[in-house]
Amino acid sequence: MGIWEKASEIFIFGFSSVFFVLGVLSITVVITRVMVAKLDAKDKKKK
Amino acid sequence: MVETFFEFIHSMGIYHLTVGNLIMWAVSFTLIFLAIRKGYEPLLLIPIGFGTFIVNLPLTNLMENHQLLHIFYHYGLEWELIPPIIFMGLGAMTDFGPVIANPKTLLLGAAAQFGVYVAFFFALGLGFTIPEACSIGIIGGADGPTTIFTTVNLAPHLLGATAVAAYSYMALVPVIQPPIIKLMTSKKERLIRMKQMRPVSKRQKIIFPLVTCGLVCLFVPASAALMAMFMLGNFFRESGVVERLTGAAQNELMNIVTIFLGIAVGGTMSAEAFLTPKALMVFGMGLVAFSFSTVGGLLLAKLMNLLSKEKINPMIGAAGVSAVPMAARVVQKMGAEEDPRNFLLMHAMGPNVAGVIGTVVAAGVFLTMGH
Repeated sequence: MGIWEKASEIFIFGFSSVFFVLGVLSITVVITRVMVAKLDAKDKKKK
Repeated sequence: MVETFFEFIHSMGIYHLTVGNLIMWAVSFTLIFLAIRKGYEPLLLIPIGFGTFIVNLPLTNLMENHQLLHIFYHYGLEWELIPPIIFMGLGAMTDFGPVIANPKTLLLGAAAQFGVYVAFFFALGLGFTIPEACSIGIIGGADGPTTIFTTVNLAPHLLGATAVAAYSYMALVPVIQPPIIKLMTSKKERLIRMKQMRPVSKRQKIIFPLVTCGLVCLFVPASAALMAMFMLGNFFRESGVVERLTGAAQNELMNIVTIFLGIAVGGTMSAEAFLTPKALMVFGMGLVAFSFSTVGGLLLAKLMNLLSKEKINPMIGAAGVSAVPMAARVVQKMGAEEDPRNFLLMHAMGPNVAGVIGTVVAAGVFLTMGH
């Protein structure tokens, strides 16, 4: 495999991985927020 | 007697002093000057500058096997110990609240890795090998420990150049970024006020480091050493029950390893290793990397504004270049110059800390594919 071909692969996999991982993380943060909000509401009711 | 005299003279370092040594002294004094007089990253540039000075004293052989600086370098950097410990300290100092309050900013941190790949291709075009280009590209992440971690693994001969370039350009963020931000944004965009961030509960802050560590390490295992320690430090902080550990990670431990890191990096900057065309080109590439990372963050912020009803001030995209908290402060200052009542600091901290995570992911992929 040529150097530019390998470099292109690193770029495509690298940059898309950065977006993918941080994108998944941002979605997870939103999901977590909803779940935590429910837990917090339950706690308030108990009190 | 005469023979002994000449042998004695030969045993003196001054006899072996080269022009290269003198140039490196000048480099070390410049670093020390910038640290003391200009306040540029003094915690790093002082030990790096001093390390550079002493490694260029002939016959001291401090970087030879089993000698002092080599021991710091070997156990601290080659064993990949110091950068993760520094990351633990950074984690203990970082508040992820702005990211949790506005998760969109994570994408800005991703976009600001654009410069990493631009510099990577530039370096390849200049004749660097793929591992070398990866080490140069990662400078664009504006993250010293990640740059060092990547370079030690992929191109250790470039360590001095990449580390000094990373820390120097981080210190120069207030000089590099404002013209690019002004060029890429209109006054109207710079005046955009962002609505107040939603509050973040303690529970969310405790869960965040666990979730982030799990996710990033599952997708990019090569980044585990840095990410796990970064999130461990943050977990100490947010758990709220281990103040002593948080304090140790933030202060004592961080200060100790910073000394060893600086002096070990300085130790790699001998005249023979540093005064090469490749090492000098690294500095040029570092500027390219920083500039394009800023552009990447700004462009995505502008794109988000096109696609979303809720406008964000595109300047916060520039803070996706890690350089915590310098890049966020630049955004705050520029925002306040346009409108003194526009407070962007906390909004900019979101992409700023997201940029650190983004750089670690980019480094992980380089470590996996760049060999």
